[in-house]
Amino acid sequence: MNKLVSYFLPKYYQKSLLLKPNLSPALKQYLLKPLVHKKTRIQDIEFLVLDFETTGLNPSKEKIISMGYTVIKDLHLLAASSGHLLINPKQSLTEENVSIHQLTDDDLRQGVGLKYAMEQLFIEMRNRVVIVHFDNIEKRFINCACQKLYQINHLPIMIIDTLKIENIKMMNTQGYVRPGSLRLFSLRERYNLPRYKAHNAMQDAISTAELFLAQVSHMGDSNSIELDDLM
Amino acid sequence: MDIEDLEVIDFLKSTLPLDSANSLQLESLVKEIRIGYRKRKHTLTLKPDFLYLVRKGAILIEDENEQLFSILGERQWLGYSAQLVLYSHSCQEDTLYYKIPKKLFFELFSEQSSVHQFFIDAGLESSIKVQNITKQNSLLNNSVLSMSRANDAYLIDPSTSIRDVAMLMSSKNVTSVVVTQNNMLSGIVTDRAFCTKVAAAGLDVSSPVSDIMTINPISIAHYKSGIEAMLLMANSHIRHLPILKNNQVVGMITAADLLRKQSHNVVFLINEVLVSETVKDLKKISEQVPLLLQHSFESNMDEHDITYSISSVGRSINQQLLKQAEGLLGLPPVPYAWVVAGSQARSEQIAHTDQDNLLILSDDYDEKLHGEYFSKLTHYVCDGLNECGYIYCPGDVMATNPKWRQRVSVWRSYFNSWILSPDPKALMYSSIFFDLKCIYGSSELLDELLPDVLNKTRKNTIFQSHMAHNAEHYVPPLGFFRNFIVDHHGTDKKTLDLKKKGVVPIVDFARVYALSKGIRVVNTQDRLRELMDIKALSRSGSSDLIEAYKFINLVRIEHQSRQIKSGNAANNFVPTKEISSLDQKHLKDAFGIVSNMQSAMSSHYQTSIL
Repeated sequence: MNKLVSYFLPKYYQKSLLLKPNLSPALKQYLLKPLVHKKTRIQDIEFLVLDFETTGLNPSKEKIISMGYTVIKDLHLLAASSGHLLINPKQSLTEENVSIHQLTDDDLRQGVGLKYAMEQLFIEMRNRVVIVHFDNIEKRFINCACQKLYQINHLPIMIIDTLKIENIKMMNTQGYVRPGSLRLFSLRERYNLPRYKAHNAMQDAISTAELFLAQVSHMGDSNSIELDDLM
Repeated sequence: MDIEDLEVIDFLKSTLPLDSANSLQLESLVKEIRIGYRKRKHTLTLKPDFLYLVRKGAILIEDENEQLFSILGERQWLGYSAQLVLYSHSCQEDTLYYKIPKKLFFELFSEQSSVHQFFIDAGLESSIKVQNITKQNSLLNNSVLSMSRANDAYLIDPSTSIRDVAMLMSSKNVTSVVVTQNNMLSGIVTDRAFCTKVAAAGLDVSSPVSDIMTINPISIAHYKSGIEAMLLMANSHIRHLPILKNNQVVGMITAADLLRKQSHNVVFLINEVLVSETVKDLKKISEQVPLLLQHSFESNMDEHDITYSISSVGRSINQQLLKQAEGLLGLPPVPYAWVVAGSQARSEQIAHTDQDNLLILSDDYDEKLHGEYFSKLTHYVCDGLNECGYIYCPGDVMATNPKWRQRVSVWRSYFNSWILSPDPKALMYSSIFFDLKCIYGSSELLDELLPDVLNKTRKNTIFQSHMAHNAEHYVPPLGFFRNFIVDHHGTDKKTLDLKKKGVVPIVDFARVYALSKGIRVVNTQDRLRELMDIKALSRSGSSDLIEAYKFINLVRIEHQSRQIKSGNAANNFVPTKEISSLDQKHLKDAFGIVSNMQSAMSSHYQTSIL
């Protein structure tokens, strides 16, 4: 039901959320700003590029252990706005997690709580369009956290997915998508972007941001591209 | 985990002139970076308040008459010179670039003269280029036909057998032939086709050549200029172009033909290095190095720029060999740093020298598991360098030698023993191993090692005395009454060895002082400047020494340039009769400065007690 309302009457839905109790100030501030209009030219938009590292794929069982982000403004990545947060999952990591992310229990014990991290995220997301590579993870984990912390089932959020952009492009130009070809690593290579060794959420957010800039540049004149064209 | 872990930092650290920046400066710099991307063939409009650095890709610069001015690749800067901002910049490849506010950049490095000097030199170099552009372009403005070698396109019939074509190509020593039918171009066969289509596919060599030719190849009209041919090749990733006149094949132009015409352009040479896929390709480029020296000298380039250019070509050949080796062997199993030593590390080469290199391996290295990989890698690279004229090191200081292919901890113990017990052998090594530069791989392995080493050399006065004593070995060839002490070399009875008796004493002097002050830079002039900055040497003393060094080296470069022009191999023995009387006087002054500084060093480090 909420989902339908949010889809057909986004402004009304967003206002209705503001009436909820237990909203934090940062979340309130976020909700007070209407979402960026789909007909806005992308060079006028500020983007928040996001990458989460999680202990697994299921948001109701697994935890977010780190968030990395960076900002794109005037279609340039602003390195100064990059950031990284470790989140204490209050549960020990399995060996598999450690080998993928190279984050250990000790690292994460220094991390912040989930609530603090979400507050930080709302501040960064305010008045910005979010970019992720494969929105399945970030979108679902954000929603799950909002439900847990603020009893909001569906947070209004404008998300662009660099994987989807490429998927649509490949289907249009070659009519099929080869398995594996949509991975961040393979796509970066295709756009002549450098190969990075490090693997952490902030570096991956930067990698995604660079990929986005490349995709946009390959679409032609950035003056004429609107947010709608990327969704 | 914070900003210092970002890849950007590693990239900046290994980009000139930021190799001298400290980590605080790098962090402040990173915070101001904006990252942008332009698609191939699109233009990049430079904003006057920003410096631009190519992260990946290539940018083509053309002047107001749309004449090619330069091609810049990874790690090269744009936008530092007001003049160049007006030129048109277009992306030759998909390009990722960094944009940095100029004001902040120069404020951040206001204390580091070397950073400013870098851009001043680069600016001067580009203004020299502007002056010479008519000269350069007269070469490139010639028609492709006039530049192709003897207009020799070998025309063959499509029915000719692959074997006959191969025999023709090898006997005529050409890398491609043109296939024609009724005098019309129908295909091209390059040496690459024999590799990819014949050998790899196991094709019968008696089949007709039409089976392996590239049909309807890209061609160029006979009146087009060399620049147009060069751009056409770059854009279509090909190296051979048949030349057409009235639809008939009249010749063939190859990338090598263009290279010969452009051999004095270091940017062009390095770009060629970057696309080389085999040792053979690199060898061809390396053969142009003497010409680069000659042309650089003749176009009045600064001594520092000349040695820097020559060293850059050597460095990129070495890097490209490593890329090729990794391409063949796969990615390294553990991190390593490829480190060059001696004049290559100091960026002071003026010709091919013997190679000095070593490998620092991560402490995760396990001989049993990874030994074979690194043995193969180092052999590929050192053999390749030898092929390219950087001959094997007579003292076997090469990464192929297991002794010099070690983990960080082993290197640490080597340095400790050299510093603690400076016996003659250790001192011999020190002139090699204290001038190091990582040119490929994980430079942090060297960074991990050096601060500790420099801290020890700074504290150990006995080591310093021994080093100073060793540096007295070569003295300037100046007699008591200011006459030259000459050597016999070949048929010349009166020659001066300007390397051993002119350059080496200054290089050694700078090393002794730099190590005893814990200074990390290795280039001799940089060392002297930093010593001046920290007041370890007097302002007048060090600037005199820099001038003396530049002058001696320039006389040496002039001599070699003359030898190259007359078709001889270059050496360091300069006959006195070749030196004008004014230059002889200057040379005596320069030697005088070196002698004085040497005696000052002897008393400062009390070498007489050894």
